[in-house]
Amino acid sequence: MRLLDKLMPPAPATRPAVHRVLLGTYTAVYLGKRVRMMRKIHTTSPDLFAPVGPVRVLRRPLPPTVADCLLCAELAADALFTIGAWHRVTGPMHAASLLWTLSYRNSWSMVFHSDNTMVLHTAVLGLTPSADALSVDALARHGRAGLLPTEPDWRFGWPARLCSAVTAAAYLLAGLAKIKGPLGWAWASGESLRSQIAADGLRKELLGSSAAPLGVRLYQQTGLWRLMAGGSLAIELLAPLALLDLRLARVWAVSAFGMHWGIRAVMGIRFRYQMSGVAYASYAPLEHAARPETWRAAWQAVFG
Amino acid sequence: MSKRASLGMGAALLGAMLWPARQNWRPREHRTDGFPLSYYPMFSAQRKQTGTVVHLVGIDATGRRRVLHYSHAGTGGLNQVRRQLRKAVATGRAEQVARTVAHSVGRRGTRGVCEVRVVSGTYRYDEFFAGQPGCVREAVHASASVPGS
Repeated sequence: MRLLDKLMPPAPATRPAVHRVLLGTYTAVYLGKRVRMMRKIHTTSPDLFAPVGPVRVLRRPLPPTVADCLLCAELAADALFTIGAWHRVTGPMHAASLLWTLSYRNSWSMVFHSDNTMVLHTAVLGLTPSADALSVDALARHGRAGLLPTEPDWRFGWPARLCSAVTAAAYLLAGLAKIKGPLGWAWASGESLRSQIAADGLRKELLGSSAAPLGVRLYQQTGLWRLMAGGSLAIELLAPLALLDLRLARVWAVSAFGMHWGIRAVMGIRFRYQMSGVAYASYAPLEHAARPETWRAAWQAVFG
Repeated sequence: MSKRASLGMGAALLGAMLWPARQNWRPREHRTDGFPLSYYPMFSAQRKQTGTVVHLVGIDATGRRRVLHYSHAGTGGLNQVRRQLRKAVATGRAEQVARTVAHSVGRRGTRGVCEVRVVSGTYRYDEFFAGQPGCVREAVHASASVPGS
């Protein structure tokens, strides 16, 4: 029983609520900026259709109009999830429709791995009580006082714990794939990472984009690549261990966040969800962001 | 929902996430990736000293070559179009791609390009990143004239 209490510590309802608002807003911006591109993808040649995830139930692509409508439905579900309206229905609905939308987007010969944790975090927050504060539901149930309840409960601490475990599992898998790959532990020598940078840069140059200038400048610095490869492998493989201690977990989250910005600088690859910081929101005491005194203190610190 | 039931559901989710790790023990050619449950194979492959890329080249009236932007061939971002180009060449649809690109170039009026080619170029990384051409070999899979050029 004590283990259960440790695994599921109590937290105020504002913690998963702030997380829900951050994740829902991020998803709205992410999808909103890609509506045009995704509608074009829906008209791609059926020859290139390679379904993944739940989209495997399809033998051929959906008619573009149907795919467009499903995308619109997901945008509406995300809006309701973000404001916390009818969460018991819209939470699971948004989780399912985001899974479908991004699986369909990834069913055209390329899987974008940066989307995986976003979908899984949405599933966690969509299926747990993340709208008992800062939501239309809370406002309707308890009036203005219901927006910022302070009573802690394990049901509000558990979603963050599970989201952090999901994040850690994704990094562990990425690390495992490297050491179980053809190079084994020699991946940490940095030569493979350097070649990856080169392969990525070459593709970009030949396909009309451009290689990241920093990656090109550092290409000959083999020692630096060794350091970066060792560091990133350690971040990936040690991710689950960092869950054992809250402070360690936060140090890990900052390191992983920095790693993705490093990848952006040397490879020009954007892991958008990770670079936004929302991927690591579950590691932070988000309930502080919902307290008016936090904002007052921040205002005073900035403007005196 | 009770604590035990929530823990059970969480364990099931993590178990499902970790399940694709078994791909790492399968022969490389039989490994399959999925979404959102993946074994995250990115950056794990062993690279050689050279790399081959299927890409688009534009030729102008004087015979000068120019790299054409991937968006002439499709949508969804560079990596998605790159994979689609590779698949098109592997399945014998390079001619179709060349025609599509030629029409796109004609429509956008890409400066002076009168012919497009779908090629596979193999390059030495060290030379390429030292600012030298580094091209080891190049194979032309298909070409098409730009309409109205």
